[in-house]
Amino acid sequence: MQQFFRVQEYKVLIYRLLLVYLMYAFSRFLFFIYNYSFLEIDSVVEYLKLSYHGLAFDTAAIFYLNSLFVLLSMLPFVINTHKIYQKIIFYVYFTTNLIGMSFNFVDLIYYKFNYNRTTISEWDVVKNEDNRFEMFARFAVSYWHVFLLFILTTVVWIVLYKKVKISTKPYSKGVLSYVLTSVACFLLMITLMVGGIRGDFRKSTRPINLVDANRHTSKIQHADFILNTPFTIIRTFNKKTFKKVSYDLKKPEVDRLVQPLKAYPNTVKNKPNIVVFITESYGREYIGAFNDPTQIKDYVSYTPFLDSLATKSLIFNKAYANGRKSIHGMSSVLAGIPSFKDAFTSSPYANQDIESVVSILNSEGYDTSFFHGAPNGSMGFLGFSNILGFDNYYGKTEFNNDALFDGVWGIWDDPFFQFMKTTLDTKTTPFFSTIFTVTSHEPYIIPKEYEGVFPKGDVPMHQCVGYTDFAFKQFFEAAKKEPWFQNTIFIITADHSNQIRYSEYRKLMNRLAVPIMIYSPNGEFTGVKSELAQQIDIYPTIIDMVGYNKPFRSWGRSLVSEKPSKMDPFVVSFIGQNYMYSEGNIICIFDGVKAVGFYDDQ
Amino acid sequence: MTINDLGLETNLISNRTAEMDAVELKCKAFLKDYFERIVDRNL
Repeated sequence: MQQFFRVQEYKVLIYRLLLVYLMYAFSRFLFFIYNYSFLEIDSVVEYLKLSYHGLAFDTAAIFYLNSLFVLLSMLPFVINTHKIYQKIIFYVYFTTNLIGMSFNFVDLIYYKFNYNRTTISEWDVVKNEDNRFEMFARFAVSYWHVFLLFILTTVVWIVLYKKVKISTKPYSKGVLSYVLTSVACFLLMITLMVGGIRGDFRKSTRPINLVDANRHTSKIQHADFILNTPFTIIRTFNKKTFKKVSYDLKKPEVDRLVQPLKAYPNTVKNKPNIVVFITESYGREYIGAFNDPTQIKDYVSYTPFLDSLATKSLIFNKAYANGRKSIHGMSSVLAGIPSFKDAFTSSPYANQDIESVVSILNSEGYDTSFFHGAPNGSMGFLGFSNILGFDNYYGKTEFNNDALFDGVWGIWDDPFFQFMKTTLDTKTTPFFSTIFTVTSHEPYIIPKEYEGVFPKGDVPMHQCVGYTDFAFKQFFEAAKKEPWFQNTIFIITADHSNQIRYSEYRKLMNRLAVPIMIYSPNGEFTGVKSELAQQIDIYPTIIDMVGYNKPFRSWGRSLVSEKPSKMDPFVVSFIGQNYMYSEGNIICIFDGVKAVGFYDDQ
Repeated sequence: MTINDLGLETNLISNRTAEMDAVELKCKAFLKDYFERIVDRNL
């Protein structure tokens, strides 16, 4: 029985992996002791709660680092229990794990200076130093106790590892049975490891990232306690596109050209509520109101409600997304931070204080909330919403009715819109709320009861567009009966586009075409503007609307400012491997060093 | 002014104008400020 399924070998493997978990828990405890005053963990219960949330990140790091060890332990080589083979496994195990653990120990000290877990970006700081060896030696002398702790930890770890040995008894079953059961167990383990590295097994959830640590925190520094340094280094590896560039430009010239600080002093007596819809994949192509200038032959709109709402709104029919993915959209729209090659929210720099529409409206006394019908934490939105400072996050958990889950991404748009509406009914005004929708996306399904109701169109996306347009209609019909409605400004945009039907939208720049629509029930904003606009303009536009009189950081500009802007309308984005900067009638394609293309209407 | 060559089909880089140089300079200034603020944690 002992040899059936190589049970004894698997038990030892699990024991060795659990030892790694134990060491991570110990290093987290040391991290807490060394950085007690920075972490502000107030009770044992809070410590345990945060440690519990840290398990997901420990699992990801442990499985990353131990993949070779697991592979060598589980593959059916027959000689797995042999002494020499076990010695090889021993060295593989301790080489990878001690390298990982050493990073945790570095942060016992370095965290005090960095206020963040070390990431791969720290290498940018160190690599330019000629005296790296001296730096290391100085560190070793100054923080000898950390080295001593590391050595003691290693010794205890090795002793514990050797306490449980693998039996060298030969496998008693036949070779075929040995191979088949081994392969089956190996595949099961691989599945568990992939789930562990991703954070869970749901398709709708992206692999956990640094930003996800903020899902469970009320203080930004608690995220660093939840994280571990091997994880922060591994997950930022090859994410070094966030590097300073000089171009021999001096700060005064940059400030003159970019005007990174904006101010829109004006007086607003009755501060309006603001509701922003970031509509999943809702490209400008699908909405008829935005397509008059395109003059597409036989064009069909799939948005009858939004088309009618547009006649009472201010719309921008040359608006563009600053990024290409959903995770790019949230930081662009709410914080005015575009993403280029890599998502800002996946970068080592996402965990910092960020001035955004949320922080400013919080300071102005607004109630702030973020709605996303996906499983809580999907796309890293929960973590990033905590960084931005939203008072409340409402996801699938808060919706609390899985019967209306679409089975893939989240709660269907229509019921989730209604959930947002009834939640807003309970808010004190003024409030600022954002919803990131989910239904208009691959696999392009809509609720069964609505099948056949909306035009199928020419691409599968069209039916979803029709359904989400219907969800908008239902929302506005219900909301207009509420007392808060009249003093609310609604902004409708999209994260990016999706399936393309018309060749006009296959053009490179138009692949980023999204709507920007501003609707105020009191008719304050109406008309059609054909100047360049972008997602990062939405944040300063809102700040302008609410009458905030102080300067604030924003690379975008207000789309409704009555005063002539010193900033010319522009759009910045990233296509292929190049930046794209458009202004006036010129598109500049920039490879990061020099312009490689100019395009216009000549 | 509008951009008609949204498909980026005709590269005019061999006929650079002062306006093009100005747009490239703004692009550089934007990227410099963007990366500096992010890396310096000054958002």
